[in-house]
Amino acid sequence: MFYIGVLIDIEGEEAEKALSSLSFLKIYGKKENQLLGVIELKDLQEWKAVEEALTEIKGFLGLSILSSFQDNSDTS
Amino acid sequence: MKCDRREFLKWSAALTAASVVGFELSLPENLQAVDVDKWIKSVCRYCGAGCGLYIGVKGGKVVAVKGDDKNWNRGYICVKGSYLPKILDAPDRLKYPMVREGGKWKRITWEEAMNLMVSKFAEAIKKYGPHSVGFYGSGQSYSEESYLANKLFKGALGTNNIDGNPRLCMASAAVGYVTSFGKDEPMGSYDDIYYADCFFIIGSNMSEAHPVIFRLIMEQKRKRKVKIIVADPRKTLTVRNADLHLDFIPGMDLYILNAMAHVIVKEKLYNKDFIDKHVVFKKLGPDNKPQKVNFEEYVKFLEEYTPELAEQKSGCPKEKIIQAARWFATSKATMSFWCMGLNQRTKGVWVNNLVNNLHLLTGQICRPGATPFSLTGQPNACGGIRDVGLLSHLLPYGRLVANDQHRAEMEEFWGLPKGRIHPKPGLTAVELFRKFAEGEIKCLWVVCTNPGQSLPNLEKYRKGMAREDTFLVVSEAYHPSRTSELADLVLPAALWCEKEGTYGQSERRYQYLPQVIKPLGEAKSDFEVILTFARKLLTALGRADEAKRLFPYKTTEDVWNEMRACSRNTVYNFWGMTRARLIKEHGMLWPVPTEDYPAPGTLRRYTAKYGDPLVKKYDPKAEDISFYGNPADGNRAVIWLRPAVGPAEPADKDYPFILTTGRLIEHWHTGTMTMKVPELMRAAPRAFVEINPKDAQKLGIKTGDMVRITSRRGSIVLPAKVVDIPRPGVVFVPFHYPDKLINILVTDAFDPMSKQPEFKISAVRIEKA
Ligand code: SF4
Repeated sequence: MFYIGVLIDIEGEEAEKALSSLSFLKIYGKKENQLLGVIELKDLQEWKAVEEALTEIKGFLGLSILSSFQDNSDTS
Repeated sequence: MKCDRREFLKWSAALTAASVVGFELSLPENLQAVDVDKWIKSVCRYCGAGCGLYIGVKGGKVVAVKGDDKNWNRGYICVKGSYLPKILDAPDRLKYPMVREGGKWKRITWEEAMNLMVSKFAEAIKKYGPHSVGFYGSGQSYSEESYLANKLFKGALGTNNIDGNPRLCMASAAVGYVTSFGKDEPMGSYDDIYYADCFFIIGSNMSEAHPVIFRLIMEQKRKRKVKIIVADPRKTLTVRNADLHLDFIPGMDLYILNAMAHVIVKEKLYNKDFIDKHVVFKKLGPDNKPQKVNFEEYVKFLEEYTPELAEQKSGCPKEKIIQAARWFATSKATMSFWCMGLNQRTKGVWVNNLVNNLHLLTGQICRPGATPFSLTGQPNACGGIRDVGLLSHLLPYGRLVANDQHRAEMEEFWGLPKGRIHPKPGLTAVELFRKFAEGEIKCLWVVCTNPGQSLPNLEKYRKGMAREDTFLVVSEAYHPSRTSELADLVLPAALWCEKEGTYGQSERRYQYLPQVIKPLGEAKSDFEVILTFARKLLTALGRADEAKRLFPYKTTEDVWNEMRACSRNTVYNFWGMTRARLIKEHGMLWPVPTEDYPAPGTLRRYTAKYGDPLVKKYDPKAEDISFYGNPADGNRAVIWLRPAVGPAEPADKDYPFILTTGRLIEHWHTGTMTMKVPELMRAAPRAFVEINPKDAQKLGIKTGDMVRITSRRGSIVLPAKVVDIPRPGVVFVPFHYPDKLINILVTDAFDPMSKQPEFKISAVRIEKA
């Protein structure tokens, strides 16, 4: 598994609500129009679905990757 | 709160991300710290963007990465960078030297490997002379490694048959800079992104190939509503974010660029004052020698390049060309980016000149936000190959093999007898492998690159590499690669943070990469291997004294210090970049002439007003701008009259489609690293051919159908992806996949000036398989 720390730019409260309900994303903090979260991924096939799901959210402006942790106990 | 391993790692990722962007996040009570023993500052191993990052180590293993918030990338990395830990312990890492014996691989010791290699090279040199051996290096090696190899081959052995894979990716940009401005390398930096109002992106899919740089542009688009123009025959992700898309038939962009200049001149949008002070005009005379002309002749030359003609030749609507010219000329500051789409061409240098022309014509240069900027594919193609001079026509730091004075300078600097460096440029990449295939080169050493997959017109060079009567040594981290499978001897190479050295990426930024973990198995750094080989080979040639004198180094820092001294009296001057400073700083941009010259160095070259410390040294009378790399033209830059010429192999009735190759976001180059990452592999598991829906309909092809693509050189069968990305008449295939060698189909015609092959344009036919 990979745990990817991300910064998400948003516009409006609706976007925040929609993002909070996504199963692959956990939001840890908010500052102005930016959310800090972690995306949990098994593989990059999921990453594409993640990007698509995010892009469809109204008020989602962009995503930046900041960190990545690998679970070494996982051999996938 | 219960904190299981999954929660713990999530918190680790969150806290680390928060620290990168200064976000306040409080820890749950039972969580003590992030899940690594230490974070060590380094640089990404992949692309030429050169993102700064920290490597997280736990129990001697790399387990995490995070962006460096103090570096140019401000803490951002891309998805490839985020998966870096996985490349280190892939199952096919090569752990010990192996020799091919009777068609089988046999493990041997390092000593046996070195002795074998030295005896083969020494025998060839004694029997056939120094030009019977060669070296093919890489824009991924560390600078110190390439410097050593260059010194060995050009200096100690006296052969210029040493070239690097940047010949395949950026030679045209390098020659473009030299012919336009007198010296190589961009004058601007990523900092210009914060000031540009208009971005002109041509021949580059930045969004996928250089995602973090593109992120900075998109951030400006959100904040300042900057304009983005993208010229590309495919509707890439980059194009989808553009305000204006210039879509054209591959190879016909010279018409578009000359037509943009035509509009700028006709509408009087050029900067006369700038031209009068800083520009000369040149064309090639009948003897193919450069000839000075004047502005009027340039205007006359441009007359025929109307937007109408450009539309007719390129298929790009004239209104778009006119709009692009106006935005380019009238924005407060315009920054151009380009990459392989311009460089991998038989007219690569000319098309580079035409982009530089637009900046010179409009004065969109040498101030914040206004600059031409060539992107690079590999992390150290600039610092380690172009700057170090590991191309067969170059010597370190802007010096040329064919220049008597430059050779004399390097002979004195290296302590060589006069006349040791051969005056004739050596073989370039394609020529080197051609001569190896013909048996003229007897021994070839390939380091940190995969020509068995990346050369054009591949089959004939692969056959050459497999010859029984020549000797191919490959230094690789993984085995088998499509090159190492053809070798006689393979040497296990330490990878990325298993060794130390310096990278120099596309904005003249040099960065130090420390050794963080031990190399896997018996792998060694190429630095150690080249140094040992140099000493042993010279000794075997009866020149033990030279072995000691020319290669006395104990550490990579010793070599780095010699390189600093070698740069000192050149326009590259990075004497002030001591190893200690590079360890402390988050990258430095040359020139950095003194040890107290402030970090990060020089963001903008050729302008005294914006901080180039060398303007006054080389052109004391200059008030601000001086293209001091070009004293022969009075420190002026050159606008070239370059006629529009199409590709070497346009589509015709037998081969009616144009094949263009390129990258996917998930993979990097020949996939030796990214295809070891299961996550990346699952995301982009196999090669495919993109076909425009209109073409697919005519040919009765659906997504998933197997399609045969045939060029004059070979054929390949791939599943079709019918998608509105390539324009009609164009098909696209990614070049990453070792099991589908698309380069077998690609032409090896090359630019006569840069010797860079035209990977981007080959005529093919397609049919259902
Ligand atoms: S943009 Fe390039 S240098 Fe930066 S993280 Fe991605 S691959 Fe690495």
